[in-house]
Amino acid sequence: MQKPLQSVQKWLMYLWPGLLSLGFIALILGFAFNGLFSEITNIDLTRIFQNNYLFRVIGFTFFQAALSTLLATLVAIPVARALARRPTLPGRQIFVQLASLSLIIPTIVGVFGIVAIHGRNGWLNQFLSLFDVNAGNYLYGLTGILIAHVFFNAPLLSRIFLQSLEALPPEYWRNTAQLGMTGKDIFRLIEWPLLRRIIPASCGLVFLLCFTSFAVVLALGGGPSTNTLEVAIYQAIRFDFDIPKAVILSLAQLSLCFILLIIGSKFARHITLQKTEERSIQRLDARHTSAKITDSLALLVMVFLVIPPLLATIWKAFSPRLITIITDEKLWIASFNSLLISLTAGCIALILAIGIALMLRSLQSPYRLGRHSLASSFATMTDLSGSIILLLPPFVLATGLFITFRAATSLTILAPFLVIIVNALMTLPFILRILVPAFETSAQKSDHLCDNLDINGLNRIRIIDWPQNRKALGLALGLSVALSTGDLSVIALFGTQDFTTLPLLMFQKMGSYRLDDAAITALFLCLQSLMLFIFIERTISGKGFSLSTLRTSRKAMHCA
Amino acid sequence: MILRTTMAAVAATTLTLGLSLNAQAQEQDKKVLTVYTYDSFAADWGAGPKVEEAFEANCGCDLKFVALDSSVGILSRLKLEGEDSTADVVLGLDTNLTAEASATGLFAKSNVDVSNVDLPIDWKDEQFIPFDYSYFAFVYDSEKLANPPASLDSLINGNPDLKIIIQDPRSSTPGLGLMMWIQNVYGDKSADAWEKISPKIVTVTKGWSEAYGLFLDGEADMVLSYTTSPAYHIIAEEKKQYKAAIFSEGHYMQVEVAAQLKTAKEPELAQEFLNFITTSGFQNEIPTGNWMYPVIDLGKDLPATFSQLPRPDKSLLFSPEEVKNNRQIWIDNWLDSINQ
Repeated sequence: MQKPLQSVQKWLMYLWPGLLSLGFIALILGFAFNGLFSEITNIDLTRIFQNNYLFRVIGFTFFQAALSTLLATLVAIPVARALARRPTLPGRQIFVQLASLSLIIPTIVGVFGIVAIHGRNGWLNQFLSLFDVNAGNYLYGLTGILIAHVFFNAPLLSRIFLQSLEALPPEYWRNTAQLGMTGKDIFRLIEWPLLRRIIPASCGLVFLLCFTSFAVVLALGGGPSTNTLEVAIYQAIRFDFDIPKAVILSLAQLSLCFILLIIGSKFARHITLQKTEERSIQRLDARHTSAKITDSLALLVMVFLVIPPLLATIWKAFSPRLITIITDEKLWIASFNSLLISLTAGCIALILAIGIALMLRSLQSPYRLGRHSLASSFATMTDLSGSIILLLPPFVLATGLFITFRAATSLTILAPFLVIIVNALMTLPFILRILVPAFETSAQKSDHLCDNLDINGLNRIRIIDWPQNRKALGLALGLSVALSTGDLSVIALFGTQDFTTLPLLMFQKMGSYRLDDAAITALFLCLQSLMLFIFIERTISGKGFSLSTLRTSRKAMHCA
Repeated sequence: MILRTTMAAVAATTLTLGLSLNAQAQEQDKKVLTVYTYDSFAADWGAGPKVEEAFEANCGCDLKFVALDSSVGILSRLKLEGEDSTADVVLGLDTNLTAEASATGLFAKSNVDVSNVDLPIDWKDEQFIPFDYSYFAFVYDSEKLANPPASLDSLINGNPDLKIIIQDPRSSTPGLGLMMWIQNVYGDKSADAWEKISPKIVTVTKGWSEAYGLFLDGEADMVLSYTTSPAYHIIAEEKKQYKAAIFSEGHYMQVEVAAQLKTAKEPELAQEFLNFITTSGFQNEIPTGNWMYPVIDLGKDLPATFSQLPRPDKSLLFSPEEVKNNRQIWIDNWLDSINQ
């Protein structure tokens, strides 16, 4: 039996990094709410609730999120199957890498590419006009939102599905071949039961992303009838400066999604957004003609959905104005601001996430605190609170913080800090999903060994933790920096022409309908985000920049 | 390694932040007048740069336009910043917003002599001074649309295939103007009118620039703009096919205004700028920069095209107080009934 004091000490020893992180987050949230509530003097609840608009917005938000998730899943499953059973398909490697980048492509760039393809004068209509067909103006409104959401989420989902399908033991496929199972049987007996287990968590994530979608809906929504809650919150602050309304809408969003999260957490499994290992498995069912047809169809749909918008953006960027824009001081200032903001936000997010991940690994590892009854509920709470940040509208948070600090200094000085802090918090849920599982696995592997050999403190970090986790850390920081580079939320609220980031500059150019200039900015933004991601990820993971990784994986494939 | 990276990043951040603050400090030797306005006024092709040049020629100061993404956005930004705003002058609200703006208590008396102002209405406001005016109208390309509607009624009830683009009344003054226009003509039946017009709306944009750009790109048959917009195509592009449809019910009028903030850091400069607004130095830039009517008689300096533009037979306008008392209710109703 331990003495209570020792037990407290032990808890503190394991948990202090996480408590620091959580304390910092709580402090920020506290400041934000303090600001918001100081602005609320009287709430006219009847005005807000009597209006059908609120209920229509909630209804539409649910509807579009559910439909987007469903469509993305329907596209992703056949694509994942096709890729899983054809490991030697030409271009597969590129496709898989492109798919993992879909999180990194800034939303506003994707939206721009989609307009270039699907707009009234887009490539699709131009192509159709060759046959005297006019698809007309179908983009603005629900169609546009769905296209964009599928564009962003189908690759992400197919990536996750592919990863789990590839994790199935190769013996399965030998057995199916021996038993002469058809593609249908394999799907029914092997693939679907597996997918069914990961669908709730992965599709839940996609649902939340679509539920809180902002830039897509703002640019393609086309009016109040296709507003999501997130956009309505932005409008309440930006247009009406109606803080009570914004707070109530945020509470509605929070509580609705929280209920969904609770329901979802019953089925929850960890999703890891890590790179797939290449391996070669003979799949006899892939040789069937019907399988060839369905797989080609699935891949074609995916390629036609994802590739043209990116191509169109690049194509449009090479316009006569390229030199003018590239040499424009404004672009470079915006690029520099984006760089500063994304690096700082990324580092803050990483530090916060490391704290939380360290705490969770101590709470979940049976060798540490995992056996304590409080630990698991504490872990679930922390896990949930990570996801809740995803549901907090960044505008409300930033406005609250601004109101708290506005007396101290001007918006010009505060704006960069607000953007950094809120961006850091917003990317936290994503990188937690990478760090937490990685830290847990590494702790389970090494805790006993380290105790036996008495490796602890800095030595343990240097010899054990850093080499084991640098891959995850690199991916996390890279992702977080790339996400903040492409972020258009708080900056849309506080940006002026004196303080722009690349996404805002691009949005302004789209707003004043200078599409050529917007395309060039888009390409620039995309390159910056990608290069930062690749550079950070490679440097920290210690991969270097050679093609060696590619070669090793090819070798592995040949051996198999 | 990670520690080193983090340290390097922190050091770089502090250094650059310091540098940029330092750079800002050096520019501040000259007095700076900060004017909040909307994007198309401050744009390179708008009236802003020319006005800036004309004013800076005499004031020995630096006139800085802060462009916000929409006109109503100026007011909400001021409400957000409150008394800590960096703005000295606000340029680009209109009479639909003046009562609400002055209720914030943020605006100072204008002290500008408006006796030379030549507007279709009497000007009595003590805080806001007019800087241009025009009438809201739907603009169309006469080469593509041969029979434009001749009244608001036929726009609403006529040709079901007609596609229009409008702006959001919550963010943009033209959007707000159209809402007032329909309110003024249809009164209690406005909700019906909006429901009927909804299927014709391609998209509701945040500001004027985006809507007009979409229209020029062929995304709709008509766009909500001003009776003076065709002047741009005639003068700047020598294109005569763009016309404003004149409606028999009359047109809602817009008078755009400017005012000084009580908390202005440079009150003297702000006053000087307000006085400058009603002189020809500012007003000369309005017709061919902002494509609106000037508020003083420019004589022969007004391009001939402007006197040839069709003017509506009847101009409609609510008083600022009427708008203030009803704007929120009308917007709620608009949100309720628009459903495209």
